[in-house]
Amino acid sequence: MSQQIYDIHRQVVEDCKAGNRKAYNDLYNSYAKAMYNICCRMMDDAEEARDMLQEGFVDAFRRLESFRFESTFGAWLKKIMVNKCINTLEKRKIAWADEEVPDSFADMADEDRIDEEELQMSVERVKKAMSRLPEGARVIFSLYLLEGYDHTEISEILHISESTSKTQFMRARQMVKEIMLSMPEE
Amino acid sequence: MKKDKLEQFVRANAGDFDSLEPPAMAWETIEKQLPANGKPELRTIWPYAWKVAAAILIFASAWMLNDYLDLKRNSVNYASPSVANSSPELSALADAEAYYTSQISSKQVELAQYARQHPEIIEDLKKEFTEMDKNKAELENDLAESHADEKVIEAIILSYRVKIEILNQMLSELQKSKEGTAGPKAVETHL
Repeated sequence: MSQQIYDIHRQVVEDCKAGNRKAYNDLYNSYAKAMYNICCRMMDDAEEARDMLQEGFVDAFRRLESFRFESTFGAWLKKIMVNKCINTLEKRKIAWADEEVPDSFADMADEDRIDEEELQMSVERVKKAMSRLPEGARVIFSLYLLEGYDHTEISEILHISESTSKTQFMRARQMVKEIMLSMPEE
Repeated sequence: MKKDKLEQFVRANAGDFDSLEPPAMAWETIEKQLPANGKPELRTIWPYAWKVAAAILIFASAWMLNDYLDLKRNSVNYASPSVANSSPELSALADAEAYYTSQISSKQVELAQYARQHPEIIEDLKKEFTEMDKNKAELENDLAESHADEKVIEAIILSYRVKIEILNQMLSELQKSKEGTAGPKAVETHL
């Protein structure tokens, strides 16, 4: 039998499985904010993020029976949300690996030409810079730095190679820095 | 490796990136789509695939037992198969294995497109196939020991066919479920 993970929401999940409708609402309240922010980062559009959030929860609740605490409920739910967003983005023919990278960003992946001391860092500035990234770059940047997936996991999620994931992430990181430098100071 | 400042900053402040509040009405929409009686719905895919697999395996073991008894009864005849005779059988097996392997992998590729919607199914399938591969490895041992006995060869081939049958069943179920996405209940039922 697979190893089970201790989960603070275990009882609530069990209650849902037993058909307790209030338990669904409890689970939603515990995770809605975190999941909504993930969807916003993935989609970069509030309306689409709301759709993904709703569809993701509905999906998760429908297949709750197949969740057996082999990961935390949060990790399981997050995977469902991320996959839902990726599916929707892919319908727009987003290419994760071959996305056109502006010339100025090309071949900069490994070198840091930017003096990091010059970067005025704030959460808002990083967020703004992220929303100006091309879709693929934004998704990889978020998956790696904020959603906590490693390159092996990202390569599985996006069906790309690990090295592509690494390269695309480094490009995205570089782009974020460039964009931040070009942004007016606060 | 040099630590990247931007990365460090984002990781250190990750919590502050989650500042948006979900839309107030989001829950109402979700609630309307909760499983009808409040209980999560069971999928039919696995039970169905299981039935097929179980049926084939029961059939296979009965058949193999029969052959084993046969083998014992006729052990004199089987005792010294000539190596010359076994060669063509082995090469036929190699051909068959190549064929089945390519069939299986092309079906797995087809199945991969559903991996996102149904990650747990693919996960289960992987576990199941690992188990089946172990059994097949044992058969292959038997094959070496039995000097390419025809029955063992047939059992190996059967193990490929079971895999293909499971993949076929799952694919057709998933295709049905894809066509029925407008009415999700079409693919899910209370068991």
